Amino acid sequence: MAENKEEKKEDPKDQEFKLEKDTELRFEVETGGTITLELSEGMAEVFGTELVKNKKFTFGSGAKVAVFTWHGCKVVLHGRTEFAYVSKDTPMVMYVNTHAALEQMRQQAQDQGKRGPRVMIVGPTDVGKSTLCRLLLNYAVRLGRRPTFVDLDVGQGSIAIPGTIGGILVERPADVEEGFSLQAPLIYHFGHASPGANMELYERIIAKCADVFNQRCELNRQASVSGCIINTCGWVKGEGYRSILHAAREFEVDVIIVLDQERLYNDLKRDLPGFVKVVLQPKSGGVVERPQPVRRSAREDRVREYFYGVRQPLYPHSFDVKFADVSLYQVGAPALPDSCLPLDTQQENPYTKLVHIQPGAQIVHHVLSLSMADSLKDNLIDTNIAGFICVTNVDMERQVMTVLSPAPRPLPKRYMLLTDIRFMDFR
Amino acid sequence: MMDSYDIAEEEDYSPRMKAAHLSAQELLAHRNLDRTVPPRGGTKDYAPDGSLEQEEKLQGMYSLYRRMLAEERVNKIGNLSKAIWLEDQGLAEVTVDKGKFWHHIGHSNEGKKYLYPEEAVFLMETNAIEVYWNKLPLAIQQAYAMMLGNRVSMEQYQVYAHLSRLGYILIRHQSREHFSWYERQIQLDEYIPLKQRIKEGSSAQVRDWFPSNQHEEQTTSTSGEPDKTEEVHRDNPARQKSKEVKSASDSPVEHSTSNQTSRDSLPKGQTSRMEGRIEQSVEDEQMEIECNRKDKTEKQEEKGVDSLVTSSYECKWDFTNISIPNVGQDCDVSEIPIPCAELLPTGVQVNNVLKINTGAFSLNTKRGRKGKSNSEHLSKIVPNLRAEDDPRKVSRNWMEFKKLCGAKREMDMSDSPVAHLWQGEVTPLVRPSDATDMGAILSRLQVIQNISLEKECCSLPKPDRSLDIAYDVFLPDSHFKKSKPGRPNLRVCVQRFSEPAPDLALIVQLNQRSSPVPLLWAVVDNGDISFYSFTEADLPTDYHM
Repeated sequence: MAENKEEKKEDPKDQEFKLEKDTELRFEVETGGTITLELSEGMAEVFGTELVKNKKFTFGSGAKVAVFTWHGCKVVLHGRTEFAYVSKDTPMVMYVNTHAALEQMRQQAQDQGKRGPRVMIVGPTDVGKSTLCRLLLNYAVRLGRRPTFVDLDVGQGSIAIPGTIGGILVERPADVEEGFSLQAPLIYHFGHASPGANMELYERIIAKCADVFNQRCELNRQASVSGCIINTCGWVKGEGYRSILHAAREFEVDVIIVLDQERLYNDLKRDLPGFVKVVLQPKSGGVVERPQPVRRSAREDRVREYFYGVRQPLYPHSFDVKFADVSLYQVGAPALPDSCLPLDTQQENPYTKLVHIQPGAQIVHHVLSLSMADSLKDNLIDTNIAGFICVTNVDMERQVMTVLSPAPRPLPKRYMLLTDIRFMDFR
Repeated sequence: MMDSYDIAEEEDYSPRMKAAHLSAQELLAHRNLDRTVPPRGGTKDYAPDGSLEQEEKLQGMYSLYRRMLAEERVNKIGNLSKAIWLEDQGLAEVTVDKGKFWHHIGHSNEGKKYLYPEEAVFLMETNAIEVYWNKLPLAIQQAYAMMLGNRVSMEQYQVYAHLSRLGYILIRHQSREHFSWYERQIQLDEYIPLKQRIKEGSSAQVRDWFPSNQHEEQTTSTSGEPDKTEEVHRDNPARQKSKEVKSASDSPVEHSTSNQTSRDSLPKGQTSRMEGRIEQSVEDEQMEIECNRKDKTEKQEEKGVDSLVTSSYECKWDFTNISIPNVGQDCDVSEIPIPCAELLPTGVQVNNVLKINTGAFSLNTKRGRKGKSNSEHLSKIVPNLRAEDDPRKVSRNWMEFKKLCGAKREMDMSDSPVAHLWQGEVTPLVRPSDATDMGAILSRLQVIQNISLEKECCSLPKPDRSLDIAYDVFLPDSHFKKSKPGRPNLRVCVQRFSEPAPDLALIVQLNQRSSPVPLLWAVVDNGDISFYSFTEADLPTDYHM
């Protein structure tokens, strides 16, 4: 028996799959294990990125991957999978038709000197919104376009760590293992893993992001024609719904793709102006629902990847920062009841108020966003973020905190914003 | 047989005429006839009460009226003009013209003088003419029967007679003024005789730029809508033409007799005069403003296509040609063809046509566990929108939408002292932001909308019946010339009291046809004539302290 176990541990099988046209292979990597994928014959793609033949692609623990082929192919998996199966029932044809329609719109925009299509993808959690975004972006880039990817999902964002929204200009298809290359992203601090914590701030930074995107479009014709694809968080009821409408309005979207919820589709059709096209599309059968613990650990993994890298290891720096060298702020203050205020004064909006914080024990293990602002005259809320650091230790006696930073000392900027995201650095 | 009707020269008087000659005593008696007219008015007796007094009164009245009707008209033969009634033409040809009536009554044609039936009867009534028929002079009663008869209704004659007795000069309505207002202003009518103008027809005429005078006689019952488009059509070519004229192009343009697209040109000799002063009346200016507005909107549309990339564009995506797959319930596209290769990246090959079967996908229609539906939630956020104000339906692109919403946001009134009024289901009709002036508030409160007849005539349906304007009325004027009557001072339409009142469409149509000359409606009730006119009046909607 022990021999068997050892055998199993030492020698995972090689699984070969033969895929017909328009089928996909779905598999999930076992926790703690890795899987190597190799394309031996034919042509296939992973979420829109073509696989290079005979190259080995490695996926880490917990990764869920789908390999789709238009022409038919043979794929070899090496490693232990939670599950691996071939499916014929995919909405890929629908998604590719969506891409074709968007491409038509881009062509029209190019010919007529208009703005390119702006697409927003909405739907409840776990329907494959991020995947669909990735797919549409990849197809667009493969045709030579320069679409912008805007990620409004503060919980499971793929541009920066959770707790932020941002946008990147996509110039290359996403890497199969690592996703989109994050050169010069535009990040805005939000600070919480859920938009409900501070809706005012959320809507405000969405507006700012849209503003910057519009400015980019004015300057860069290619970017303007290619349009943008906006990913949203999975909150589609109540205030979340309102934030969807707000985002649609700020970004002036032309198309909204609703995944897998008829009620949301009907509501959006009713509430949005008539010139916005709202379509309903099914989710893919391969979408796996992630329970809360999985999502939490996914968030932590994102922060870890920020500091330590995905495959290529990155080496963050750890050094001390004096309290006096930095100014730490928090966005949002508790709302005061009107009876506490003197007569004739009106409370300014508490949700977007900047509160200065004295560094202390309460900020240990929190991630801090480094703002690009050079002075307090630039509104810290509306300024984009340069990067993140994590406070690993606070020494009140010496008035010094130890931080984990992607770049060596000294810190490039002075002003920082506190986020709710915590990261325990175990390595 | 007598060929010539010049009876004055005839020696042989018929016996009837002999009897009509009066002796000197009779003449004197006639001159001193009692000319009292029975009084009108007084208290009314509602019902016969069988009394002798009433009976006597009645009998007295009857005999008086009979006497009046039987009154003879006496005049010297030498003073009487003579005319012959031509039954087939319905006109009386004047043979002997004595007196001054020809100054303003009658018309001539090919050297002969003619009178219309109402003119002839009127002249008979006023003792100025004797009309012969079959060589016999007609009696008044006979004249009414024969001449008026079917051609001229009793009411029309009564109106004619009444106004003529008052001194006005009436001619039958001429639907077209042969000389336009402009031509009269430059005194072109002095130089071109009316006959020549009539002979030339409309080809040589400069059409007036007023809508009323552009209506041809054929268009009696055109509805308002083609009129309006006609007006604008005519204005545009007319204005273009004015530019041509200014650049001194002398090419005459063919005139089509159809109403819709008529292009007029000027005879060569008149271009130089036209170049000088092209003054426009108020109505012309209005037309011009309307045309300018039209030009502007066209320009804006053109601009939209060429505008910069990010400045908001007027054109929107044409989703009928671009089909995005949609499995929503209301999507009517069930099959999407394979996209062409240039839309797909290399390596992607779509093998099948996409068939959308909306029932096949079960799309998570289950209700959430708790919480209100989005619509309820939104109704608290968005104030109740009036349908016509809803920016979502009205706007065509984001720029318009945001503009409209921005205007709405000002009205959101989170800080207004009356904000609480809008929180319930029943909301006020008027918003504080509407209070710019009284007129704006009143327009919000009006249930029945005022319409301005000139502007809204195109939306009226066709009138039920067509009515013609009867007479053109001129003020008593010694300078009146039949050959060049000019613009009438009034126009009159005749109606019987028992006929239904004209509907709005008819009023508007006739007013338009007659404008700028005022139109009166003469309503005849057994000899009593009342004149009505319909003018547009605006109730004041504003006050100034």
